[in-house]
Order: sequence, then C-alpha cells, then structure tokens
Amino acid sequence: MKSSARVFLLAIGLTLMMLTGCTPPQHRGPITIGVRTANDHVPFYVADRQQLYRQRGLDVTVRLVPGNTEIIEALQRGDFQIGAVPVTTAIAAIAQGIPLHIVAMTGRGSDGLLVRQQDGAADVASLRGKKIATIRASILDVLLRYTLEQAGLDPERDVELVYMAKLGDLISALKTYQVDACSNTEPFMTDAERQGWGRILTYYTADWPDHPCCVVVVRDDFARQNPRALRDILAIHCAAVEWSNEHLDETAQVITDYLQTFDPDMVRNSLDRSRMFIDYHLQTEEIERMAGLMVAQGLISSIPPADRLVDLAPLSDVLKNRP
Amino acid sequence: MSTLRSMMGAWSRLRHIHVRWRPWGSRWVLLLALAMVWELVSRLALVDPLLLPPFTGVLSRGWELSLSGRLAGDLLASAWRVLLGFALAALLANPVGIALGLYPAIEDLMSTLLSVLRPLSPPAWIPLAILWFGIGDAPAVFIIFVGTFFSLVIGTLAATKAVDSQLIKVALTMGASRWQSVCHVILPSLLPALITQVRLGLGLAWMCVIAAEMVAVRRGIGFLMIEARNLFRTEDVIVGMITIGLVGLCTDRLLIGVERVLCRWRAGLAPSQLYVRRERSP
Repeated sequence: MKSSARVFLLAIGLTLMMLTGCTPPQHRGPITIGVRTANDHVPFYVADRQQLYRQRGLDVTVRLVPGNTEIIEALQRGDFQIGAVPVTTAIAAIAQGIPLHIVAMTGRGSDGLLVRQQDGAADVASLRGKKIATIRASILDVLLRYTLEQAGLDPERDVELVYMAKLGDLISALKTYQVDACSNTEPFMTDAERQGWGRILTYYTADWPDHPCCVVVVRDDFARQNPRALRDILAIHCAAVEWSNEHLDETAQVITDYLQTFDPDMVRNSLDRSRMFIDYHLQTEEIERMAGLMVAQGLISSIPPADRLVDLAPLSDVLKNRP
Repeated sequence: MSTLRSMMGAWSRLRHIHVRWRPWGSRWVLLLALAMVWELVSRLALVDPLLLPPFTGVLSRGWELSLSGRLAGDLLASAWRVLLGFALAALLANPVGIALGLYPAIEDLMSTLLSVLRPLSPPAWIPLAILWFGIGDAPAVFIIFVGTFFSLVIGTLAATKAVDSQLIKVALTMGASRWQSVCHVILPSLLPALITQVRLGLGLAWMCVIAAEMVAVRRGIGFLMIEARNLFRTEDVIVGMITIGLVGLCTDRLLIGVERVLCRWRAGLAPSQLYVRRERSP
C-alpha cells in the first residue's frame, strides 16, 4: 500500500475515534440538572437539600457548575437534561440552533452597577468618560448597555467598557481602582457594600422593573420523551420557589451552604425584595424583549420565533393542576 | 534519438520534483483526509453539526471574518502581545538559564523557586496581573511572559549543562578568559538549542494567548474565541483555533529556516542524516 493511502486511512480512523465522543447520548437513567452558584438558583439547592425529587420518585442529581457556558455545553452534549442559566445565555444558545426551550423562570432582578463607596459616581449619567467593567455578551453586559442608553449615554462612545471573564475579576478591578464601576450581581454587590468599600449605584430593575434574570431550560428531546418527569420537576421547582420566598432566613442559610463563601446575614440582605426575587412565572413577551435588546446590541442576528424560545405548556399544566 | 533523450530528461526532472515534494504531499494528504472526514461526518449528521459544524461552514465563516477585517485586526492584536511577551521572556530567561547552568550554587539557590513557580498555569496569574498591571495590554503581555519564562529558563539551563566541557577546557587552556569562553564556545554551542527553545516558546506563547485575552482586552484571537464561546458560535471558535494553528505553522517554518542559516556548521551532523548516509554508503 502506498504511503499516502496509509496516511489517508489512518486519518479516517483517528477522526472517527475522536468524533465518536461528540455524539450526544440518548437519555436513560438519572436526570442531571446543571446550576450555578447564584442566589436565584436556590430553588434547585432547596429541592436537593429537602430531597423533594426523591419524594416524587425521581432520580435527580443537582450539579453545581462554575459557568453558564459550561451548563449549555453540557446540555448540548446530553450530559445534563435541564439547566438554570441567565436568560441571555439561553437566548444566545437557542438562536444558534441548540435544541433547548425556556420552561420557567428562577429569579428576577439582582443585577446592577457597583461603584466604590468613596469616589463613586452619583448616578448612571455621571459615568460619562469612566471605565466600566463587564463580561462580554453576558446578561450583565446586555442590561448595562440598556441602562446606559436609558441614561442618555452611548455605551461605545461615552464610556469605556472593559471586558473581563469572571465576576471576581470585575470586583478586583473595581476594588483596586482599575475601573470606576462594574456590572455585577447578588450576593456579590451586597457583599461589597457590607465590606464597606462598595456602593450599589443602581439595580437594572430601575429601568426594567422585575426584568428576567435566570431561567430554566430543558433539552427538547428530554421534554418530548419525558413529559411527566419534566412536569414533576417543574412542580418541585414551583414549590421550592414558594418555600424560598416564605423562608428567607433558611433560604439564606441554604445559599451559604452551597456557595461556601458568604455569611448568612449578608445573603439574607441580598435576598431583600428591593434587590431581587425568586420566581417561576414566565412570559413570552419578556423573553422576546430581552432577545430584542440582544439583536440591537449585535449579539444575535434576529429574534428567534416565540415557539422556539419558550415552551409555556409544561408550567401551565403544573399550575393548572395544583391543589 | 534526441526525442527519446529529451523525454528521459523530462521524466528525470519529474521524478526529482516528485521526490523533493513527496513529504509535503503526504502532509497535505493527511490534512485533506481529516478535512474530508470532518465534512462528511458533519454533513451526514453522524455527529450533531451543532457540536461539530461542517468544515466548509467553518471555512466560509473564516472568509466572512476575513472580509469584515475582524480576523486580521484580532490577529494583529494577538501577535503584538505574543511577540512582546515572548521577547521579554526570552531576553530575560536565556541569560538566567545560562547563569544557572554555569554556576551550580545559583542553580541550588533558585531551583526550588523555579519548581514552585513553573507549574502555575497562566490563568492562575490573572488576578495578580490585574492588580499589578491594571487593565489593557500590560496584564495580557505579562501572562504570556510568565507562561513562557519558566520553560525557557529550564530549557536553556539544560542546554547549557549539556555543552561539551572539553571544548570549554580547551578554550581556557589556550588562554581564553571566562567571558571569551562564554562568547566563543558556550553561546555558539547553545545556538541550535536556543533556536529550538524559541520554536517551543513561541508555540507556548500562542497557547497562553487565550488566558491572556481573558483580561480586559477588546481585540485579539483569544477574545474572539471567548466571545464566540459565550454566544455559542462554534464556527468562530474553530476559526480562531485554525488561525492560531496556521500562525504557529508559519512561525515554526520561518524559525526552521533561520536555524538552517545560523547553524550551517551543523549541516550533515544531524543523527537522522548520519543514519541515512551510513545506510546509503556501500
């Protein structure tokens, strides 16, 4: 056999070996839910802690993942069947054709602008000419740009946006005078205030009251093949949301246990209704509005059709059949 | 008869071209085969195209990014950081490596520190890079510097220790000063190893570029890939990977050429060539 033919066959073999790892497996067995360390993911921590899934006969694992993108990638591969991610992450994934649907909300509010206590700006308009740190293409970026526009500032000309990769890097940059403000979320903003160096300039809810923050997404094939399991998980989600809102002290303790960083009092403060609230209600219009902002900011090319973005049926079923 | 002779001449020329370009042909056959298999498995939906977009889709996206000028702008921004970070690392690491190789006492002193710092991955330096250098290009250049510096020191140290001590003894016996022995014996002996270091180090510097561009930059191939990942544009991520790969290939070829020119005295001394010569000799 000629050497080039041998090389060709070797290449085919190697490529097939590599690619066999890329095919998403059919779902069988336990269900895995991917969540992040954030206040509004607490309904999943509560359900896990109180063994609500097991009580319904479901074999569910709640997996903490450090980043939103990793949750979508795991959903795409079929490693997770359900996940909780910021609404902008879900919209970007669906716009790229990833077969997912948004089926419920997990939280509203909680994102805003943080400045330094001493020399920070008085309001959003006074950030003209300042450096503001954010995470490119994240919900913090989309809402920051929207808020700047509402204050009459052009995000590309009137301020200098500085892109970083992690929430912690944003905080470090602000704390060490590298930037003048940063877009951030709870409980990190309340923590900065409590430490005495930070001040919350505004919550993005000032311009969009109760804006959606994180949502529950589900793989289309899982929803199709396991409608009952999905309904059960959403019913548990609704119950966990209600329990969380009724027991804010205990909820703060659960968040502290899962995040392993903050103290319960501070987390309890960050759960105040003026800062954020945990919710499961979902409206197609608000998701479309967020997608519209993303189109205007050049993050996606067009708003995906409503029936591609949101599936309200499972949550409606759950709410209809509640006692 | 003359026609036959000219045909023989042409055949001989063709054979010469074939023999000369055969290795390149094999390399391109391998790449072409990989691209074809990649295209097929994606088009035939053997693999979800969302996980692995078709090769032609990636090419077309690369073309779009090139036409818009985005790819060239990002490439220039990254190349500038890589070259600066790597040049600073090489300028500092090579003298340090040579000094450590020549003076065992300094090596003893520094070895623990080097062993502690060397395994730290570039992203681990990000918080300190922001604190020390602020935002912009400086922390990115620092991350590339720190990602390549320690490997270069270790490589130069090993190469310095491997210099034939007999050559140094001869130079010293013949009255050369310590400095002259470094300039006329050690450095020329190190040259091939240093060029290999540069080849490996530049590759390493490009590997650090994604970590480096996680820090407060708005242009660069790493930034393009991070943004694409946040928006699930897999084609853009692969375009970034291919671009880095092609730049790595070009710089590597360039450095091999530089090595051939600077180390002409080594021609024919490479072990593979010695083996080939022995096999061919009657």
